[in-house]
Amino acid sequence: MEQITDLRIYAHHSLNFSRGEQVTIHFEGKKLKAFANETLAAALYASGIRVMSRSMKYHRPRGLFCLSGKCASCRMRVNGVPGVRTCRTWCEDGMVVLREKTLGNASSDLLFASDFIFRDRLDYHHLLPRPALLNRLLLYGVRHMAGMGALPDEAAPSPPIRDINSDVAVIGAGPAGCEAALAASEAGCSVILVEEDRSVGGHLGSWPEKIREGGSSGIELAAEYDERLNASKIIALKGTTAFAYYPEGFLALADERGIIRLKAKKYVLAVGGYDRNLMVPGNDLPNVFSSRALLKLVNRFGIRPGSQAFLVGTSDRNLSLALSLSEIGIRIVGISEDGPTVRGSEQFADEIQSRGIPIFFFHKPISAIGRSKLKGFVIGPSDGGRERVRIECDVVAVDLPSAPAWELAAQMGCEINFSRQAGGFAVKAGESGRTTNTVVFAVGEMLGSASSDELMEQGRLVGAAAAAGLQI
Amino acid sequence: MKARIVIIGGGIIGLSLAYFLGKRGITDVIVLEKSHLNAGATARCGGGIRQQWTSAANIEITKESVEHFRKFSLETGFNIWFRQDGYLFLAYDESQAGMMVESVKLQNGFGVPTRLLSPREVKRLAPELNPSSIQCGAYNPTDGTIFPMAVVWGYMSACKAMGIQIMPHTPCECIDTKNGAVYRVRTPTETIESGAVVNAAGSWSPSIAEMVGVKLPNYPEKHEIIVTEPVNAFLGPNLVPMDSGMFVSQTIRGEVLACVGMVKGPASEINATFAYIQKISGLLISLMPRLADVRVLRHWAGYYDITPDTNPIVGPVPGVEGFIQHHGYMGHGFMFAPAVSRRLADYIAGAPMDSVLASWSYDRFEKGLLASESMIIG
Amino acid sequence: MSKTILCRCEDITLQEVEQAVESGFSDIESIKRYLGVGTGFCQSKGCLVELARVFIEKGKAEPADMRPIVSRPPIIPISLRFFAGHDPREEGGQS
Repeated sequence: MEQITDLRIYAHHSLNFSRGEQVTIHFEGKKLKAFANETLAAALYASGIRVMSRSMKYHRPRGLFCLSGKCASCRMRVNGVPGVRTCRTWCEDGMVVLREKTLGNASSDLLFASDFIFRDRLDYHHLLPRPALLNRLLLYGVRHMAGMGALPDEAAPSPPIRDINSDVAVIGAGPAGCEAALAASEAGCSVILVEEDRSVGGHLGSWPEKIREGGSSGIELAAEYDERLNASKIIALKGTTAFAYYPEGFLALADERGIIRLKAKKYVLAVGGYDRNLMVPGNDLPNVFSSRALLKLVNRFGIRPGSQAFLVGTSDRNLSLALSLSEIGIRIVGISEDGPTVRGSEQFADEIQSRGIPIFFFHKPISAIGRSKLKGFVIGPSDGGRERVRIECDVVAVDLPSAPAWELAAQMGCEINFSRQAGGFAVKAGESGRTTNTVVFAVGEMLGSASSDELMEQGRLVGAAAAAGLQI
Repeated sequence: MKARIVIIGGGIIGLSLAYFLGKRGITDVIVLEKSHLNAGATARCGGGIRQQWTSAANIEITKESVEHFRKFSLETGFNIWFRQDGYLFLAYDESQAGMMVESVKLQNGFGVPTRLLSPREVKRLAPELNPSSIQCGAYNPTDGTIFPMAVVWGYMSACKAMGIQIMPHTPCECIDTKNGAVYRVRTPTETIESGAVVNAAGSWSPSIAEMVGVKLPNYPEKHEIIVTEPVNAFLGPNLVPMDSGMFVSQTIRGEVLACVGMVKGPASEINATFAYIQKISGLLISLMPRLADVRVLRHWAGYYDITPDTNPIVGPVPGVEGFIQHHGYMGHGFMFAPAVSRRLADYIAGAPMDSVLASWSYDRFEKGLLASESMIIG
Repeated sequence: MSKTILCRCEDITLQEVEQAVESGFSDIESIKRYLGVGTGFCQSKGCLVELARVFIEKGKAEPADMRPIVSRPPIIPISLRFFAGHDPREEGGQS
């Protein structure tokens, strides 16, 4: 088991971490310090836990990657229920948490041997079909190794289903979603805003630098959105996820109290995108993060992730991340960039240079190194040359354009296309976010990457368009 | 192109027939599948394999299929994960118990080792079961669960190895007849001359039959199904509580799979509905209360190919020579496929029609319907 | 650590997907069924785009022709008991 420590930052020169009341988490027999405004994943990470789960076939160690409930790497048994997403679960005093399905402790799972034995791949279809006895043993073995954990301890009760209606429903409270909700509300519509996280503002909440418009920082803007929403008539359902559109004609939501059926006259989807990882060997090692996740870990939860970081890509996000990490004393060993120049804005680029952070131009990622722990990262020339630069680091952050979320739109009957510009399969949206379903609008990063300014602008436009024709 | 036999439909029915034809030395066979493999009912089903039926014919057929599945991985080199941990039917009242006693006798007569269990024995076999109101159970340990898509891939590779052509993404657009006999099949890109066309198109069989002016009484009925996140192995036998007719199974990957009939009658869409998931969740939790916090992972639907008397339609059609039926499997085609296909392949190769298959002829709808099977589930 | 994980949930490697595309699987739905990619806990959130990219990069499909997998409810796993709860609409048809 990992050494328990406390990697929280208690004195940051510009950020305040309102962690809330201190609580105790019981983790595999140990008592861990945690806080009410931390997710379980953050609290465990702050305590030094790096291996969150083991992968299905090869039992590879998996750590946090997306920190937003999408990559399924952080699931643990919480209070007797298996497969709980710890990055979407908030700490409560007395919570009992453990990792399941390992032979031996999760940090040194003996079943990791299958990663060695099946060096390249494990092809279930052709594994030991003969002779009959071995095949039967295989069936028995696979069956008992399968599953993410034991059945829940208790037979919990079924909570009643709730119903809620509005003129306009906005799904996702990032900058685009918040603006859309506010615009629709200002136009006189009743609005329900649904957000999976406990706070609004999306990734703004992890962005300490100033956003051009208004001169506020992302964090300040997120707080402003919260105030403006509270002051409005908008019903903001936080900690609530939209998980389906059923043919009976409603959007199904779930919070910790159960299901809510949401029916609206117009729907605005502002559901953003999913973090993508590099397709290189070792990409699933613990401490390989998406940049958005690392920004959240550092700037929202105030946790120190390691001591030497390497970043892939010179987007504004990564440059900002580099600065945030430097602020807390993490050494930025380098940033790699495919092309000849920094992609991010001058303001950031100058700051990076002045701190002497090395940028490796014309270099692409080759592999992450380490058996169970990240030990380093290898880069090579973008033109495919054979030279390799091996970088010693214990944290890697990857910033790729996110994969647009498209599923709810598809279930609502909207046309979905593969779009290079959007970065993947995306809902087809025309002027003012109109989709091929006349009551569904789409806005924000689910249509492709955009700056915070652009997202806010789009949100205002689409919110107004959705409200058009509905107001009294 | 030319082929001795064209099979329309690349699901378990069509592919198993191709396989048995190949085994009999008939390899000049083309299988036409309108979509990719594993697009239709075969890939959507629950993968249950049972011999517990109330009609002699069904018991005989499924018993033979079970033997075939037992040897499948050995013969094809492809794993199909056939786990024989039984089906456990549960009776909740006198009438269900009575039917159970009768059918167990019938099954035993065929050498199928089903036995009646007391409520205590039922609970021992499936500890997670809520035991209330269970009068008795019927358990056959040689029934089980399979991974349906793997069987399709296994048949596909065996057929290819025998030189049989399987053409996915190739719909049959037209079947031409001359003097009351089929002689040609047309797809968007090919014409295939053949004197024998097998209609193994499941829910689409009626539209295929229309191409030669034959009216089929089958219709597609929508059945939804859910699968949960995988949990540790806890459920050995597949469960069928007879009050609801639900089917519950734990797959080799640990997922709990459950389906129950809801909307009767012809359907034209297979969308997953909220009403269904409400129904099946309630049933599952009252059957096994600790499943309450297990999460639903996927929810889909497929068609049962329904016939008026619940029995399949197999064999030739009077008046259209060379047009052979092989459909109407009511949602349990998977466990019927090998045995029926073997016997049908024998017939196509020149043997007289097997008596079970003969009872499932197309012309019975004029002559007089057969007794229905009572244990249709899912 | 020579594996490049494309599908985190089901432990499918980039190499396996590339081999499957090269060996003739012509669309995402077929590969999804054969390898299990996209059928795990995240229901393709992390891997769908990578799957599509392999097809495109191998020249097996034009982006304009690509279709995603069929999206089914729920898009995140939801407890059975949430669906089984009392439904106010079932009594007297309130809406």
